[in-house]
Amino acid sequence: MKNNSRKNSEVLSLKKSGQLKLIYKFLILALIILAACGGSKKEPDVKLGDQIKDQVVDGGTLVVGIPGEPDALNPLTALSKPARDIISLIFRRLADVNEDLYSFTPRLAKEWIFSHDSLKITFHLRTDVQWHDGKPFQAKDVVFTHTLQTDPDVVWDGISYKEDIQLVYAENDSTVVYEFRKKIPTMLMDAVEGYIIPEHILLEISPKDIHTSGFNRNPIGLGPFKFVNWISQQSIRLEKFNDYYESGKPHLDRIIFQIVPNNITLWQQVLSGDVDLMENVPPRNFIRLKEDWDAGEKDIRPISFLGRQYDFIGWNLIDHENYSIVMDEAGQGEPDISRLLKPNKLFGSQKVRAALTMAIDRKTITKIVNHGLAAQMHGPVPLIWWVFDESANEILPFDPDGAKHYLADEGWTDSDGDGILDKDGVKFSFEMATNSGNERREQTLTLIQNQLHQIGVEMIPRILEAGLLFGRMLPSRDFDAVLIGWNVGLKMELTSLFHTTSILYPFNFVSYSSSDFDNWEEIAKKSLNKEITRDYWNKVASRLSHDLPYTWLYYKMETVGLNSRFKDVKIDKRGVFINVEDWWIPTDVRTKTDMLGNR
Amino acid sequence: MVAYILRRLLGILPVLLIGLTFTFFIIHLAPGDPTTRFMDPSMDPALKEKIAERFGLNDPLHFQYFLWLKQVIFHFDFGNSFNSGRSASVIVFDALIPTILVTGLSLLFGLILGVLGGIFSAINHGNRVDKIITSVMLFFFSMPAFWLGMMLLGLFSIKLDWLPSSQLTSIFHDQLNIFGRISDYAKHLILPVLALGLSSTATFGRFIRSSMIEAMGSDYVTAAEARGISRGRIIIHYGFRNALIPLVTLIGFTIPVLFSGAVVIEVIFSLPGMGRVMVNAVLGRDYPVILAASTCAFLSVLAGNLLADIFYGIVDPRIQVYREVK
Repeated sequence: MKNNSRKNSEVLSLKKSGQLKLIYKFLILALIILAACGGSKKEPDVKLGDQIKDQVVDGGTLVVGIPGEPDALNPLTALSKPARDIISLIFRRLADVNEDLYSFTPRLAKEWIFSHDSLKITFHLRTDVQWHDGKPFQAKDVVFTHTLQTDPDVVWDGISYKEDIQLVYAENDSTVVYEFRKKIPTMLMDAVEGYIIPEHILLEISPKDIHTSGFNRNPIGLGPFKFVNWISQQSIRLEKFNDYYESGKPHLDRIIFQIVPNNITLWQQVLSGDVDLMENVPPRNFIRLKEDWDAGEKDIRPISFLGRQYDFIGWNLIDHENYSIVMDEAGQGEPDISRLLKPNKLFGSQKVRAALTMAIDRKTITKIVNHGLAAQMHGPVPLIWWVFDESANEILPFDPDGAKHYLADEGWTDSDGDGILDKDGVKFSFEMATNSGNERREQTLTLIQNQLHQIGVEMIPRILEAGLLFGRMLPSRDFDAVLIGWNVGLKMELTSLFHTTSILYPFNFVSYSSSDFDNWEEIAKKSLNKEITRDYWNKVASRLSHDLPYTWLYYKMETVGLNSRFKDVKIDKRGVFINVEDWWIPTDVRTKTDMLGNR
Repeated sequence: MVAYILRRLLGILPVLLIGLTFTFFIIHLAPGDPTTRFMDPSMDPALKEKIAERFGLNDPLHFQYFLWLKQVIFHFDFGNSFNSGRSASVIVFDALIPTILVTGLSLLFGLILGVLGGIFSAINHGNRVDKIITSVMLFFFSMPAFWLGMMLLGLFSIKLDWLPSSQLTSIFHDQLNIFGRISDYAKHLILPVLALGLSSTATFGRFIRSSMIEAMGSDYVTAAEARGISRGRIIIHYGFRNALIPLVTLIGFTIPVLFSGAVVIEVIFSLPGMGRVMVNAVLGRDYPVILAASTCAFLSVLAGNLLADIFYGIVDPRIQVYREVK
């Protein structure tokens, strides 16, 4: 099949050449002659996932291996990734973002219209949608969902999307209006964020009790698959919803999520065919799988794409002893921010941070620790945002000699000849912490330690339990440097990470403050003009990549292994489960698992 | 005897209370914040307070303790999991059944094989058979259960693909008849029970062997032999019966060891059970679940000791006589 697909792509590339008409004539003539001669019938050349629509057949089972038990299957309370993946199959949004992460495809909404003043969006809803219990989906469900999403007692994690929405109301059973306080570029994204939940089920439950409600383990949605059962720590089973609004879909009969916390065991189950789909395939296994797949020796497709996670070094820009004193003095009151910003003895200088960055061979680290499955990162804008522009970043080369010069300019020299730089009796020695249980970061830490040692800087690696690192050390600024990572949201904002107003909060733990950043990021977030938005994000990228509150390291690729019997699969940076309702399995490659429930 | 059991049961309560009180304060004072996992860079930091309030974490610690104790004593309610919102008691109860299954079967396997091996080794004391059995037992005695588990997993599941590598049942379980279901359970439990049971086999076997050798060399066995009593009867009635008394104590102590071993084995074989519940709860600072699971762990230790004491009284009439005389 793979060889066929290659031949097919060669044919396609020929079509693009300038001699199309002539080739067509020859081909048609040849086909007529072949047909007339009763030539042997040849299978159509098709690429995996691009089968002709009328070949699509229903039935079959998808078995997904997940590493942990989901916390809840309620869109308002779930936080874990497995839970969110399962929820995406049971529930639906008004619209889903497209691969460009800018435009949207209608889902529960048929269409939407912006008002003349651009402060209202009117959504016209589908009228053919049913909940899994047979009740009709109506506009009141959308209004109810918004009410709960913004209820402070619910503590929905996407609440920031809704902060500019003033009012949501139903004009009739199939029309909902979202009114905004001000014009912002993300109005549509804000409005459609979050899955719609059933009013008739959850109306009686107090928002305070939503976290303990039975709905969390027995959800009723309106997506292509309905919930069947959940065996604690073992599996979650979904079944095709026959009254799904997109007629003829989904094609698969059921999806089983098998909970297998041991990564080695899970990978083994993928290889043996017991599990069809696994995310986060360990890089070594993924590379071997790719080689086998290319050689036609495996029927598991290796799929990689830009994910949503990057790692960086965060430098503590302020003096943490001074921070404790100022915070203690302020007690319950508001501390004086300017007093908090007393520079850190080591990392307070931009030139020192630049020197440390130049001393670290980020390209090699990216390659080694990720086995080539990551992209280098130089600035704050994630690679999947549409405003990403590599040229906007100030990229420092790997230059240990230059780093030494920079440090010497700042007064750091090895005055006592012990191999470690010092200044005013203080040695350039510090701790860099990371969370335990992350092999990639632990390996990175060792490489950085070695590279910094080359320029006379002593870095002591500290591997700490995540609860201690994120729960105590970072919020209290009690650290020197830290190697951690962020998950990337689709909404473009960096306020909580770098804005001056976030300086007292946990996420701006490096205590970065810049009036330029504050102003530019505000403009970038609010501008309705695409060019202006891009320009200001570039300014932000340029400023932060110069100031270096972080030394950005690498942006991870996601690695997925999927059994090749599934067709019409689309997987991209939005995730793995974006079009499962389109997946189908040809009858000739079905397995015992696909026949589940057919007895 | 009933009075003795009641007295012992009452004695358990203060031990349990002290243990749980320590656990409560240790986990609350340990670094880490249960609200951290709910926070996202895009969230309003004020929501952190709201979450802490929902979990009752804003109250003074002693107040949280007494409130929690009251709920536990009067309602056996450990609160709801911070992570999933489910009742912590229900989560632990769900997980307890597979753990008891693995622990119980491992104990049974270890006991049967250990006792047979020990007796066989003792009656062949000093010869080649004894040496082979003793060496094999020493090997398994020195192997940690988790290492053995990984080796068995690698060989029988990954290399040979004879037995399933994870879960308690297959996805076809619901479609099987009763015999099929039992066989399905058995296939999934063989490796974890072997991994856990083989270590205890060695413990029991070595113990029985030395007790039996001691008993077989005693005067009453010599007297029995002089009276012409058959060899088999001497082994069972004189040797084994006397070796059984200290074994009962050992079983009592082995139950909590197996329980904690099962916790590790569950993680290796991806079995549902207390192991995964505890690991996840500790990593996520899920206080209600940690406390509910700790209660189970404490109870397993105390129950093991209590059962040992009770059976000790049953198998050794001298103890009862002594109590009655006293």
